[in-house]
Amino acid sequence: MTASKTQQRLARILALVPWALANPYPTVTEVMERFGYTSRSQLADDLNLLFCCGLPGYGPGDLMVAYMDGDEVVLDMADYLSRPLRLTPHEALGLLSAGLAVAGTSQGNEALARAVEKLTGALFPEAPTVIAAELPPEPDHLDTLRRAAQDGTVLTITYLSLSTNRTTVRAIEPLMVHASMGSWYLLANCRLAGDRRLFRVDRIRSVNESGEVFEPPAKPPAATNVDYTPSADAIYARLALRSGARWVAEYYPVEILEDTGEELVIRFAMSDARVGARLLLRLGDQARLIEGREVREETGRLREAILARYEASGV
Amino acid sequence: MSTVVERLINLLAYLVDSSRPVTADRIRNTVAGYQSLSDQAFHRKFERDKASLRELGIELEKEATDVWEVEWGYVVPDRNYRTIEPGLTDEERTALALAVHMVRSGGWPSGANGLLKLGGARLADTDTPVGADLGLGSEYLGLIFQAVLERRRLRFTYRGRPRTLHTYAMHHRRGHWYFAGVEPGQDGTIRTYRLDRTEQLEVVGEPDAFPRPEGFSARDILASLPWEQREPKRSLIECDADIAWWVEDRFPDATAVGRTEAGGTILEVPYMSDSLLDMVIQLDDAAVILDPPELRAEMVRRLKAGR
Repeated sequence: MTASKTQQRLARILALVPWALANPYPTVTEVMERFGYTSRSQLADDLNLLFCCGLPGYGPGDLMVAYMDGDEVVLDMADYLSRPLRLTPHEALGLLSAGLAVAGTSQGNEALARAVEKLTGALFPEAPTVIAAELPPEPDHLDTLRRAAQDGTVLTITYLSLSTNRTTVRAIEPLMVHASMGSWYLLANCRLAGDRRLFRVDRIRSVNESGEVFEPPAKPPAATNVDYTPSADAIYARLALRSGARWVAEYYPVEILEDTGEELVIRFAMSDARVGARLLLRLGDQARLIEGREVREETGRLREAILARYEASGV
Repeated sequence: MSTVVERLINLLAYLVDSSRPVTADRIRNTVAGYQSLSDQAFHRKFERDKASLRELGIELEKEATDVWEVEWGYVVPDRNYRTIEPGLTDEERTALALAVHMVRSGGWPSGANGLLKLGGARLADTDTPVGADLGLGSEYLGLIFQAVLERRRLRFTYRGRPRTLHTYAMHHRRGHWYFAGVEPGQDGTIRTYRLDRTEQLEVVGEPDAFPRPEGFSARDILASLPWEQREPKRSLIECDADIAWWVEDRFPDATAVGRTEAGGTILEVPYMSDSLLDMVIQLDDAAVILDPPELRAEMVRRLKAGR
């Protein structure tokens, strides 16, 4: 769910009014900074809007008073909006879990720890430890990667590919690090691929400065969704899942085609047939492939290659 | 857009300012922005407006306008207003704002809105190239939080079976949200549930429906999960040179006990369950389980199962 522009604007106004009534005549700068206005005219628009709102009759004595007087914000005649609104459960959890998660990383500081403590104390005076949130442990290279993204340092990394288990060495321009689904990821421009790539930080074996620099983007890019979204050249397979493999339908973004009770039939999209092959081998007799040539071939190849190693290492 | 925002503010102002419940008819005839609409158009618009306010945490309630309960009107109940005051300093607000900024959650502004309601914060240094996703998009999370906060019962379906829970705590770890508590009428064991396997969840009944064990900690939740309780077994895994370092990294308790002629490493890896097989399969043919024989046999059986 994404809040619409209208909702966001209303949320900000309804937060601003009680605050400005409790702290009369704040400076324009302070209001802009606190409530995230990016321009003076944006704030002026909201104040003008308030100037047109009030009580029925809607005459001069009924409407709110809201305007900028030089450097000051003037707000009056709005007592009915003076009480600060409650945090919805989702808002309180969003605030608290973000604070808890970041406080547990190297990005946390004392001010954040105090803020989290005050917030939990206010929400759960009797039980301050009932909400917890933590990010995955930080891998060794995380800080180096973060700094390189900030400073614009080109790095040479040795990377163990997730899809092939082969090691490559590549020059990259790190853009940001991102924790998601229990792992840390690095978003970077990869000079080997000539494109933007997502790397899993725990698979980066070594990091070296190449001596080159690049111009980091003015703003870090928006967080990348690490969930897989099928692209035009995606590979599809149809799978029947028995009871021990039903979790696949919950864990991966699959399309459920049929549920016979005994088997759940799904359509599974992937960028690389090996993803499907590994999954099938992992599921053993709890899943069968109904359709999907690429996955069938890759599964056969992979199965025989692994079995060959087991035979060779026969004890 | 400004007309919608204006209408909603006017509606709120009128309801708060009235000392009595206000009927829908009266709202329609009085509040700026609702006039000259057909019956149907008014009701559609009014329902949408109520939903908009609800999303911001403002729930209108219906009350009788007189003791005979002939006519019903709307009020803005007290519970819409904030009762907590964490007393954050500006420095603490800024730290919190930065944390909220880092935890981007697919367009969901919940943390940011919460901060605005606490008086906003100056956001310094927004270009730290660090982000995190706590999977805050699920609407169930708000309900679970409410149940933990107010000690109310939760009802939901888990693994196909309906449950009722006295929910004590919730915890985000390793990319998942978990919640834990006791199913009343059962054996009193504290059980853990994973959000993404939960369906049809709702908050039921009154607040303060059960006591929470004193000192209960969310971090204890995962300690009660089966794989963190048992003594580990030892396995021997032969890893090719390319991947051995990663396996060692991933299992801090792993130790190198030998080398292969091809330059690979033989690792002793402690494990708790067959889920070790899942990890080894991800390594394709770059790793072989050497020991124990039953784990090795299970791997071969699984590989041959689909032949």
